[in-house]
Amino acid sequence: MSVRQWATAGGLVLLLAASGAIAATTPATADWQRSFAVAAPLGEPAQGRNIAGTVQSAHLADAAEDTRWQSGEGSLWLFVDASIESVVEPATLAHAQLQIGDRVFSASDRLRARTLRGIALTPGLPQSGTLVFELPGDILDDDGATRARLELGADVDVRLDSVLTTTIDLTALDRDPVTVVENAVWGRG
Amino acid sequence: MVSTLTSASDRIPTKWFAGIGTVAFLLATAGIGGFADVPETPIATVELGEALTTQQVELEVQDLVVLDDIPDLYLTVPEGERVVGVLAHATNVWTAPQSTMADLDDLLRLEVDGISDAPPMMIARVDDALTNPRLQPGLRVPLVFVWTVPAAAVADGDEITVAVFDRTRETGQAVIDGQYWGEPVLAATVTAPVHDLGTGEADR
Repeated sequence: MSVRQWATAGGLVLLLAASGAIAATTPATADWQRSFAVAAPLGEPAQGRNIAGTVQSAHLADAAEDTRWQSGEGSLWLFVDASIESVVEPATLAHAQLQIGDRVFSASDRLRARTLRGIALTPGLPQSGTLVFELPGDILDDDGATRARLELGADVDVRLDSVLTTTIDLTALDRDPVTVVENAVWGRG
Repeated sequence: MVSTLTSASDRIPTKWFAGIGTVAFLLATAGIGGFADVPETPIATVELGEALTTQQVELEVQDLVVLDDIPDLYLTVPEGERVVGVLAHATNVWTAPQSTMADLDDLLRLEVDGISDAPPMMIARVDDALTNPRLQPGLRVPLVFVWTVPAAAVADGDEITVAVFDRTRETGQAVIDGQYWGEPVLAATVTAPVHDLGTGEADR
């Protein structure tokens, strides 16, 4: 083969190698749309782009109730007390979910009391209250129960935005027979 | 070699090529069983109270009722129509919460003339009277699926068939981002007599 043919073949190999390398290293959708996790350990203040606050404490109960509603039996209820505000603009606490193993739970829509679920957030003026999660009664047997991951975000769509993340060991929490949920209030609780 | 092939093909009339190709295609199709009847997926028939599992939920249809209104749900019942309710226990078997009206609106259809294509006008929790509840994974929830039908269409004791549909979780390609539930496919039917509860006021 002539020098020219060798150069063509070599160029082709180089292009193939380059395209292969690009294809292999291109981030997947899940990677380039990932949220920015801001660690918010229990009791410690944390701040993201448009969400800030403190996840103060968590406990379990076998039943939940408020002034106008009572849960039935059979579920395990997780209560997370937190004080949350937005940072740069008004928002809502639309993303409040708990990951246990491969399952994801969202804050319960059953209570009549004003919980933190979907509550309006204002910069500098925290809302203090409770997030309530209804979980299957046998959830503590799940392998993921020792490192449940609570995510709080100030929008329904939290791709490429901050989420406060709190790791909770569900098996180490106090467990009450019943917890009465109070309305959320403005100000630090 | 080349000249032998060329001369051989030269002796076959060009017009035969399509025929030869068609015969070869049909033989190949027959060879791999392409003419056999496609086996029909049998549609399961389940009883009241019997559990059936789709990719979305585990469902037990408990009862079928017809009544004038369900006041707790603030329905808009058109003049001359009554409410048909399918009472069922549903457990979300997916790994994430499911919205009843967004994810489960195609779960059930009533095989009653005129509304067999209609999604339920409402899905609500029976215990909380909470409309359009979200189902959390692994939690068994008592639901009522509500339709309105012309008053004459359903009478006490009539057998009604409820069709249960399954949907597969699809991952979006190209222009669709994320995951979504695909086209509903008939999975099972439940046929049972409907109970007339009268005005519905007694339930309050």
